[in-house]
Amino acid sequence: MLLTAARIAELLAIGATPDAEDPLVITPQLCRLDRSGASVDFRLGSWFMNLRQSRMTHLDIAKKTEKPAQLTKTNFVPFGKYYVLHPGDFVLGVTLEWLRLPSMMGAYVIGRSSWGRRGLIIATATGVHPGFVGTLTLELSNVGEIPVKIYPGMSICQLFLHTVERGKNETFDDSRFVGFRKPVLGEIERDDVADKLARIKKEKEP
Amino acid sequence: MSNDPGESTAESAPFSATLLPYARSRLDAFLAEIRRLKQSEFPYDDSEAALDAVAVYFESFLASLELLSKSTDAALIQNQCSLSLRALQAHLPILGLILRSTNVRNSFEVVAPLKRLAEEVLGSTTGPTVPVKLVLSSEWDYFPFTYKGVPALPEYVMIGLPASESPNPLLVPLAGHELGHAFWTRDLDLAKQLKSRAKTHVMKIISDRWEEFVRISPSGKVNEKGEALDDAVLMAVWQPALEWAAHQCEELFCDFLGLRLFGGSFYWSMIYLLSPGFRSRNLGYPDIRGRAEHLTQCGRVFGVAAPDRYAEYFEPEEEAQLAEADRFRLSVADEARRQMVPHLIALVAEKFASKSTEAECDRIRRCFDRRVPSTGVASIVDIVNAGWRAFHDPNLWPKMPAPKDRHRLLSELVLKSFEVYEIEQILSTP
Repeated sequence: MLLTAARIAELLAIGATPDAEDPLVITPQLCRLDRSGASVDFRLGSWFMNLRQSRMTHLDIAKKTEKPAQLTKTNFVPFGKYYVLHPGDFVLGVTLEWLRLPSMMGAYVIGRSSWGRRGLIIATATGVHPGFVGTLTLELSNVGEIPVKIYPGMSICQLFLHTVERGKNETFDDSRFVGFRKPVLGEIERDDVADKLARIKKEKEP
Repeated sequence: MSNDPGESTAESAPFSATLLPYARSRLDAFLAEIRRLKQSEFPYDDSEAALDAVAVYFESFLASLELLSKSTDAALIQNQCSLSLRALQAHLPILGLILRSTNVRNSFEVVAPLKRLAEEVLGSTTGPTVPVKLVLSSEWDYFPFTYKGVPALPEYVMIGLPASESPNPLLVPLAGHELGHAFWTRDLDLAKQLKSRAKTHVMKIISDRWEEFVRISPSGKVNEKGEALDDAVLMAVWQPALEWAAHQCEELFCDFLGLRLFGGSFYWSMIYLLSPGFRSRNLGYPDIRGRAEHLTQCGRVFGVAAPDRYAEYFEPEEEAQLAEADRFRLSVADEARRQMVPHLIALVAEKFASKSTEAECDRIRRCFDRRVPSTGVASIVDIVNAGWRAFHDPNLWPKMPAPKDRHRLLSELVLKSFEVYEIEQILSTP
């Protein structure tokens, strides 16, 4: 069930008490919750990560040999300064807010339409799993025709929160979420089906 | 043509004619390097402004060299060239420090809160109020250090942490020690008073060990006990002892300030970085065991208990191979420093307030338990102390078995807490 802004505000207030168990926490909580809506705004953080174009001929998504540190370059932009996203540019950003989701709550990150209409795409409906902790990595790209300046601290996206239904004897392990304050490239999971299909194709080749 | 710079002005004229273009060329190259470094991405304005200030300083050198010509007095040319050469030698490592301050390995979230703390600490010097600028960088030297009294950058505090540890926010307390050096450099009265007090101790110790002093003094120079210690020849005998004692006192002052500001986390930062020790001793420092014992003593006064058997974390250092005279001087310096400890502790207690509070530390620690950064924090010191407590807790995040994962997450939480602290400070300013 999608949570209203008023309900999110209630849960955040409960989460702020020190003894709350499995709380919803957004830190720092700088955006006002629009009481008539059903989302919470998030702001842009200071860390950015882009791909080292000058070092790569291409990305081979199927191969797991790639090392994020070799592929990417990290930038820090303090408050008061900006990052220019040129037309066609793609950069990973991060939310200023650190999110902690309870085990019974999931979320979706949605870009702001006012930005999208100006060519700045924030994320492609990124799903956030229950129990997540950390800042959210954003995929920022400028599909417009003029450069866009983005500033750490500006409101950049919105989060829609919903409750999660769990099976009767289902247990929940949130230990895989070791939060990050910087954007994360993430690893591409091994895809056995794709591997097998690729092998068959190879065997059939003359 | 002679290459001896000591020759007379007339004979050295052609030699000076070479010196001048060489010196100009060196300065040009240095300024070109600064312009190149200016193209870096600077996360904080202070680092970039430091480059500008160094450039201005060297442009003035270049301008003064431009005023000279072949016909200028050779001695003057040599002097100006020598000054500019020494300035280059002193400032080139600073450029390296500034460049490394832009590397993303550094914990940039620490910079602004640490600058606030530096402003608070250095604001209480007795000298004229000088604005504080901070460059926090990483060094290819294991020992954290600060550049003191850089001519081009008088208002700067420049701290270098070992590169491999610069992402580790739990070592921020060691910056407290380096702030002590900045305080010491700015508060000239303090350094002078303490050196004078150390001298009194040194003189008294020498008087008590008169026969040993006579043995290392030039024969026939000393007759009566306590006689003519200000005699130039005798001064050369005891002066190194005073210099060592004064330097050791400065190091202890900085340790005590670090402990005063950061509380218990200062002990653990020192253990983390320096234990069990390096076996050989730097004579300008107290021996590492002695240093730990003085910190324990200081902690009793400040109400910050040291970890159990704190001094034993550090193994005794090997005796330095010294001649008899230096052995005597070192033992005098060590004794003078030991006698200065109560005064140094009292001085730090009087000048600086403790920043750590138990209740806040507990509250932040509970935030970390829930894997969220802290909010509403009054001092970054509590964040670091809570971080160290979490680090030592074997039950921290039991579902996360790998210590490496736990430490990484803890670092992220501490750094995010620093950032949240800074945001709250900015937003609370009208």
